[in-house]
Amino acid sequence: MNARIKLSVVLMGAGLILAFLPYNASKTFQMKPDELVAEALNNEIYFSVDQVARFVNNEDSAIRIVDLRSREEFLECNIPGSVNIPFNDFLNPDWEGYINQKTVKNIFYGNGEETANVAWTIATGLGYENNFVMKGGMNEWYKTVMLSNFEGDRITPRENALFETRLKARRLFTQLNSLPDSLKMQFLEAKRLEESQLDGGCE
Amino acid sequence: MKGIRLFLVFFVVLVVLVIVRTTNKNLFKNDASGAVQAAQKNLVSVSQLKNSAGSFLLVSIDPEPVSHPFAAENTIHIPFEKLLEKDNRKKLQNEKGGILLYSTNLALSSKAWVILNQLKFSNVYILSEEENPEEFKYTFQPEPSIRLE
Repeated sequence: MNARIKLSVVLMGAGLILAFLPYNASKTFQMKPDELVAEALNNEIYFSVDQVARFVNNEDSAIRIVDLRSREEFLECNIPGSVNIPFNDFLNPDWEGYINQKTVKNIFYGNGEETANVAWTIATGLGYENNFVMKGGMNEWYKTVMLSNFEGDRITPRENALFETRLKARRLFTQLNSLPDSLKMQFLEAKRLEESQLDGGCE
Repeated sequence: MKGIRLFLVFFVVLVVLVIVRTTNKNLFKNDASGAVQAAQKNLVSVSQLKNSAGSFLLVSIDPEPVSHPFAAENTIHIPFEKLLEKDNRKKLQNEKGGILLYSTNLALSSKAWVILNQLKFSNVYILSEEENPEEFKYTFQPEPSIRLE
């Protein structure tokens, strides 16, 4: 057989191989399925709303709270300091710098349990580290932090500290979310700019 | 000629590696963005299930079997950690209708759903006791008098 024909066969074979490769290799889960199952059973991926309230009060710079709800829901009310990455836009390359990084801990929340856990599984499957979930989502935050009430005659120091944390977080939440829309947008835009600069962006 | 032979050997090795990778069941091959799209409509509520005429296999994935009021005849128990065992995978693959994942913890069924979706199970849904668990149940009342400290 002519060497040219052999080479053509080789090239056609190479084309076949390319045809079998995943459409977008960079967006295929890197973790093996059984590893992901084991990781998903780890309860350390969860933060309680009280832990998140403490991070909010302390303006903890090692924590980034990620709101996965729609833009409209986010603008209506959000946890102070959170960044909005709507879930349907989760894998947009614009957000990759936020989700795929090793500097801060991302804490995902939606309104309930589903969206944040789906997002966590996708991010972890893709091999992105440092992603966590706020247990119970915004509904749990509202129930525990915004509507918490102390009833009783005596309060232990521990209960008092917890109540103070919730009260402070509630005040911050109400302050931020009561701002007129224009001021709120300015605040969020300034925060987004600050974060993109910290991430090495050029906006 | 010797060069071509060497190249052919290399090519055959490459083909074998690609075949091994393509047929390996312990690898994800789907595009993750497909999960983001499919997650928008992956919930089936109990009322929808009651009104549905389609056939479903209900898979309870809690560590222990849970008896629930909507248990269908076609119900099996596969604990989440055993979801990918060969026999269990086969049971899921053999299901021609829809597969409904159920857990008392919605977080667990959500994670199981993503894993199965990325393993090319396109007929998997999450059974939810609530009509819309991702709905915000409260209304925030702004306080116009409030000022930033």
